[in-house]
Amino acid sequence: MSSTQAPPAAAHVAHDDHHDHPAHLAHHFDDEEQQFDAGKLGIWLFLVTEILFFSGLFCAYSIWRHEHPEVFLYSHYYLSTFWGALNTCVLLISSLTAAWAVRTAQLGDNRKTALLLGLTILCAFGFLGIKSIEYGGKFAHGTGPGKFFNPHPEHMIVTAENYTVLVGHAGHMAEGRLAEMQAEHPEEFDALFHESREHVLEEALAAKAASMSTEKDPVTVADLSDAVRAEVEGAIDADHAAHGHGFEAHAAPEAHVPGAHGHEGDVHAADAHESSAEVEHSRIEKAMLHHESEVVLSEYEERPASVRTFFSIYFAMTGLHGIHVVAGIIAIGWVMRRAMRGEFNPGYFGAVDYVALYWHLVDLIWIYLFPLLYLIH
Amino acid sequence: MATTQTAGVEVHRPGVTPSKDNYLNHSKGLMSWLFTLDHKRIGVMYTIAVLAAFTLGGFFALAVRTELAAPNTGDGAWQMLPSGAVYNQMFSLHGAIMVFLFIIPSIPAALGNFVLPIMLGVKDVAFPRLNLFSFHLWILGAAFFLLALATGGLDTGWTFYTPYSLEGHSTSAVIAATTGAFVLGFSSIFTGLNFIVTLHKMRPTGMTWFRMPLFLWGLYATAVIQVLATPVLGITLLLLIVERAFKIGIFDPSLGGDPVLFQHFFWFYSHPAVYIMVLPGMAIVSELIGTFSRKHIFGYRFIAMSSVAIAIFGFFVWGHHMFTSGQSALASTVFSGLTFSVAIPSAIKVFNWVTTMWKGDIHLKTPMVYALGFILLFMIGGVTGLFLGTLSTDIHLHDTYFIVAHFHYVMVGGTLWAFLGGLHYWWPKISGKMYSEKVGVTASLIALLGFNLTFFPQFMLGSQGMPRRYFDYLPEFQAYHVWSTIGAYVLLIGLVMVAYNLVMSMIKGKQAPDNPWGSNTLEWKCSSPPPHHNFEHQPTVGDPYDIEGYVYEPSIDGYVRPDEAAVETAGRS
Amino acid sequence: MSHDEHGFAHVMSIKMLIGVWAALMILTGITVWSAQHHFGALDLPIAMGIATFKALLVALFFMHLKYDRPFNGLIFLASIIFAGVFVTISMMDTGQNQGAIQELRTATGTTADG
Repeated sequence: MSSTQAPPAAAHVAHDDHHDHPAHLAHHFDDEEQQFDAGKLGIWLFLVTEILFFSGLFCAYSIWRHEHPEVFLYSHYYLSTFWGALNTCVLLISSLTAAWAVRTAQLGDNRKTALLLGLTILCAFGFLGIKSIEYGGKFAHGTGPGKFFNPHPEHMIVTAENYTVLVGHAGHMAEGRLAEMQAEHPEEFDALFHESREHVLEEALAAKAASMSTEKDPVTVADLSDAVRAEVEGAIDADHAAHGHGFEAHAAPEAHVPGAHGHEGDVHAADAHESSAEVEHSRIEKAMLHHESEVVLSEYEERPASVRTFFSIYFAMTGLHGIHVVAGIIAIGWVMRRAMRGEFNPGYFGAVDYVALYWHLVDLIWIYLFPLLYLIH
Repeated sequence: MATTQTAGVEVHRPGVTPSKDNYLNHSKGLMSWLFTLDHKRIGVMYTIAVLAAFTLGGFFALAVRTELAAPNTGDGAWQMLPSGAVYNQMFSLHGAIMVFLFIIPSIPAALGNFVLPIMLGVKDVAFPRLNLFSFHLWILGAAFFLLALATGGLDTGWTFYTPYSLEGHSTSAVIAATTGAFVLGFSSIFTGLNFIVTLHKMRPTGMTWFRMPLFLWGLYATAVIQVLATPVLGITLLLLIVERAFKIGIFDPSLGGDPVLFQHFFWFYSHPAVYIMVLPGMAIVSELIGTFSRKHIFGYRFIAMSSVAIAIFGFFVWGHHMFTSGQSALASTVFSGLTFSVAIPSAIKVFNWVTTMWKGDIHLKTPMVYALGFILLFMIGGVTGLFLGTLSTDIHLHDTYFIVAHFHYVMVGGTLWAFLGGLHYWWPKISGKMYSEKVGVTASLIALLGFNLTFFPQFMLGSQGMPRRYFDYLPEFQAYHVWSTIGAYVLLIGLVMVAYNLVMSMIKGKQAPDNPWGSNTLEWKCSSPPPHHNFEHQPTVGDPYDIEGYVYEPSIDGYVRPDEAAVETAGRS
Repeated sequence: MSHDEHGFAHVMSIKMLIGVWAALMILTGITVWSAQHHFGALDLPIAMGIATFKALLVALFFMHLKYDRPFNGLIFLASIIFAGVFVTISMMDTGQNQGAIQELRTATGTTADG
């Protein structure tokens, strides 16, 4: 690729089509509007690629959640709604300042633009700070992504702070499950009913025997006469006839476990709502509920397989988002510096607009990440 | 208008615009190239870079073919490579380098960068810095591939399928190669983004959408795919890297992940990527066929729109790569049906090319020989693609040499042939020199022969059950393998001749005229090579395929348009 | 809403900016509140509906799409459609391989994690 004809003095041929160009207008554009439009289309196309980039993670998320809902339900107790919501607000504030900065740049007010961009960066650092508190908690408790998932048993779901909440939650879950069982597996339901009735009866008989006992004359269950037995049994059945109204999923005002507990330091959890256990059940039904609650609790204690994947997905999504926040800080910092130098004017403010668009997209992705990761039922 | 004032004597020949200052000599020194913002220099650097990658990938291909010349045991046994593991690395590196470093950037980034702004009649692409950044990303991506080579070699196949890529022997090689492909993906995205913005926002007065040359339509459709599909490759590879490094459990079945999900992710990009490879090739051929048939292109709008249609349809057929991967029967059936839809716009193009040639005055110049080769090879590749898109036949042919032959006909027959056709077509513009037609045509025909000899027997091999990617085979397959290996060396001879011809043209080629082929697109209205800012003054835009008015001028071995020449002379005096 | 001073871009009024921001904050409150209550199968659609409404507010006003060239909005929409195609078609296969994965994990004793 060497030279063709030797150019005697042609090294700097003046292209004098430059002279009517303002300094901020690149040589290959005709006017400011064309330059602005080109940049704007460019940044929009870039945002398109960003959306498709994140779509892979949303796809992985959807498939995992669809395959293993129990993993998501179980795991989201480890995320703090409080921090998540706070971060959402921080990002929204930063979006406001970024959009405002575009306005001031359009009006040519470089001082205000720099100030607003500075506030945006401040919020971005705030976001990262909160995120690092959350991440720190995760790693401290061994719930990191992938091979960093090595949770210490005492930090798994049942802890002192959240146990009461969980019991209420388990009661609620038990009610739903029993209703489902009654509808779909009546034979199983009947078996559980009889088992529970036996259990209640045994307890009642033992209580009866204890009430009839005196110091000198202990009465055991075996000593009870058939008539007494029949009376106790009758009382239980009468109670059931009077108070047994079956299980109805979500019939009562629902109790639900408030977002999150324990690990990241917010202890707003304990104020559990009224539990559906308030509804008067017959003794047999209470026994059934108790049994089922135990099952639910034991399932929580035995954490489902693949919980690590939830944390992997959580870290992948928030981590990639976090990287975008860092990139945003750099980009906004660069534009802020230019604003401080007074480079923007009503004919040339594209850079502020483009960076703000990018920043809004980062916010937009978080708007979806927050409910998908922190607010799972 | 520039006229050369040499010792006070005005030297001017119509059709040869003497240009003292052109993009090649505008500034000097290595740095003036490596950090240039001039799209033409970036295009030239890309051309050199992708050809270097092609040479490296070709070396691995020859290693594979040489190894397969004979079975490893029995009479006349032959084993060149030390082990099957090395063989795995050879074909993996061949595929990955050819796809990511050569085919995908070849036409859009190399030729497209050089030609697009000139064809459009503008000074540069919309974002020259981003353009340079794309090229630097390409270099970085290539460096990662070399790193993969150095750290144990990639042995996963070019597709990085899980679980191979999670279990392969060298973690660092897999991570290096996927990082390389990730970086190259962004290089490709930025090129596509740049082209879309350029075509939307920079078109000069008179250059309406339907006055755009078909090459630009092809690049536009390609750029749409680059922008929409490549990010998914990015996230896929990123997830693969973290899966391999941190065991996150999205693709790894031993952690509950779904390895087939990787294939969905991968092919969502990689099937549209097939059209990133072939659409620009089709677009070049659309330029060549009209010019060398000395006729207006037939069905301009159909060719333009079929590019866009292929780009969009291409997004809905990815599952046809997964018929035997454990995809659900429903998905396979749907994908099989959708696959056939792509045949329609492809066939529309072939129909229009053939119709353009009909009763044309066909000039068998080197670029035209490549264009005709393209049509032949692409037809074979496309039609065998229909066999494979059919669910029931694919079950038998999947992962056999039939597939290998099919996609080589499409990718090499499609992209490489169009790339070489385009390179020869624009070579006078790029270098300012003419190459030898005799050598050019001969090289093209030898390469065509070699290519068919290499890959046609593979259709037979595949339909008889020879699986792809095997290090060894049964003696009954040997005859076809021998033909195939001989063909590979014939192809090598053809390609060496091509290189020789182009290099020699730079040393002692004749000065190229402005318009050696008599084409009416704008890149032929500036000097060869073009000046730094492409045009001394803005060319007028008309129908890009209105070539009837050009007449051949033997004194310059090029074409002039008498009516325009008269106007220019008048303007000059 | 002030008039365009330069002719090629719309300037958002301060009132509008703060109004949109306040709406976003309120919607965040609503989504957190709704998460404390059970709406059964509607939980996810409600959460996603609120998120999408918020996203629309951001896109239309903060990102100026309402006043921008329609083409920019079109490509934004196109990206969401293509992302939707990608996620939906990939999900068509969900469950197809779960049995095999479980078998593998049982056979290789890799069911426990952590």
